[in-house]
Amino acid sequence: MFEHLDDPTPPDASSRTLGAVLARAARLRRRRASAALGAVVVGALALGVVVGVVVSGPTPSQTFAAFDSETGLLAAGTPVPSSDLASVVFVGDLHGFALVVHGTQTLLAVSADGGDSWVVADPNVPVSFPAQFEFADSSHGYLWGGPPSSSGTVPLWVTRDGGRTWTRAGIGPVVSDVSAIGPDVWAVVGTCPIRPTAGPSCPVVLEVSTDNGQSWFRADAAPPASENSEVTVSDENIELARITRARAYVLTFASHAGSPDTAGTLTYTADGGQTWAARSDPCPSYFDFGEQVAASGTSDLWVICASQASAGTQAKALYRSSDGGMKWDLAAAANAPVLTGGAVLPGAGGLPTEGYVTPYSLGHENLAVLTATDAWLFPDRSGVYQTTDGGRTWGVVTGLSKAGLVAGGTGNVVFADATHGWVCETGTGLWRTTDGRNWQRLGP
Amino acid sequence: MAEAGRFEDVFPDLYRLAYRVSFKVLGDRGDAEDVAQEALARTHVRWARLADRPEGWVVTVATNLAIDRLRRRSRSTETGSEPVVLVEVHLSERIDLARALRRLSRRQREVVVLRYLADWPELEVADALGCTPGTVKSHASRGLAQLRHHLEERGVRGGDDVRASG
Repeated sequence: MFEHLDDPTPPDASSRTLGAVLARAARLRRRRASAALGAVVVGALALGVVVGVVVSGPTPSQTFAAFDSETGLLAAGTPVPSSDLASVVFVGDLHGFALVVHGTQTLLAVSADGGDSWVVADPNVPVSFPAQFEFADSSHGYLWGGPPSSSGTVPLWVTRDGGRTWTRAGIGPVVSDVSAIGPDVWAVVGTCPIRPTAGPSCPVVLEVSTDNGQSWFRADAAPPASENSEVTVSDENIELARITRARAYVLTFASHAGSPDTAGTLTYTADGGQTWAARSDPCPSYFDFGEQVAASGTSDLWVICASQASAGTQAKALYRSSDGGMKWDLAAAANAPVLTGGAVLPGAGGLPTEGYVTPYSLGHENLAVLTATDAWLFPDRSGVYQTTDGGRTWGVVTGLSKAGLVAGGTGNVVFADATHGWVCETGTGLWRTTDGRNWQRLGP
Repeated sequence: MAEAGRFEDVFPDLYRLAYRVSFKVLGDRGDAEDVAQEALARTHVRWARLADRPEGWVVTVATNLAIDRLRRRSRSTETGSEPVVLVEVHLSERIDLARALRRLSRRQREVVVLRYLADWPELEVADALGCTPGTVKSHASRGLAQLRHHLEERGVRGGDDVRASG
């Protein structure tokens, strides 16, 4: 009935639409909190109560009025509500950076107080979310990824002033992943533009900078890895994990890029990229959706792999190596035979089937490894999990739920050191721990 | 119909539902998207209470927002306070549909919108609203009669099409 009034081509419910809805929801919550505060104040005045409290700051609605109401470019210094942060990184227990979607712009916000407050540093960064970013210190940072340009390029942008201005680096055409240790920066770069249709895989090269990304030279040897030419978001299938200035791993995770038996390929350098040696990828080929590598030291490696996803669940496996990737042991697994062609891993347990470990996870990674025993996992559309026994068992972080985190969103978990960590749930809020156990919600 | 779960899991189904009913009332893609987003944002804020059966709430909010928006749009068009840019062929029909929906009780409106604007089967409407199929049938029948009466009064094509079925 009334079919003639239907839209013949209704729009998709895309992740961008979901982001817009979550941002609106965050603004609604702030307005409600502000209204409740106003009602309390009015009630107190009506009763003639003298409130002996010095209000040190403006109300939430006043604080974020510009962010909520202005639709164009925001001025640098405009306060940004933590509930609108999309992804965060920290370079110590105080200095943080966040990408924020505001209207049609992606902006960079900064915090100098451990995430308690955020202000706009650059109202319109030269990439669109989901993008990748990393800061080596409070001044030097790197921005790349997100949707490719119309010509299929994905450049690297460099800042020397804490994200206020960005300069395009002279490397390309497709910057897949970047890692900075002090002024020493590595970039894995695909050598062909991204195409809208499938094509042959494209070899990558390693570009190196020793002056905070100002000048670059190509490493003598290229990692034996390929960038998929048809990926829609850069960094979708290549991950660079640097352990020290000279040691690093490059993981390529796509079934067609790896050997027939594994989901991807893993390669290693111990001499600053002059030579590369193959390491076995422990993930069976049916884990062909997501794979991430992390390390707590030069020999301790963690690889988490994940199957195709469905209805909020996904088969997962965590492998550990104590000899730099020569030999792997299965630490934990979550079986979902319907998603792995009937394949199951023996002795499964410890990991949740809930949530997605994805190739790029909206511009950030799901796994944060602190030591050989302690790590955190934030699968998309799930809660945050923690292990203290080297990954054999994972438990939901109840302190976060008590602090108001509602499981089911997407976001990232980052740690500046063993005790200072942050969980950002995209478009919902930011939480911090300063002791590795207790969590508090920051801002509105 | 979306199953109860996390908001992000059921978001695509709920968004499509909100957009469909909004577009049927508004006939404008941008407005319908805006209404659907607002309805879903309000749903997210109340998700802890709505997670079991969100569809009835979403439909009600989206329909009300769409009706309000159409009413404002009509008023501004009548008073000439905004340039008249609407040349949509079914506009008068949508306005009459909105007026007719406004006259229904809340429960009748939920049932009629889910059953006849979203085109859901009776059993799914009953499940979404937490009532029996008999209750749905009863509300649908009465709501439909009122809708038909009003639309036929206005000589709208939808009035001719309104038939109790299923």
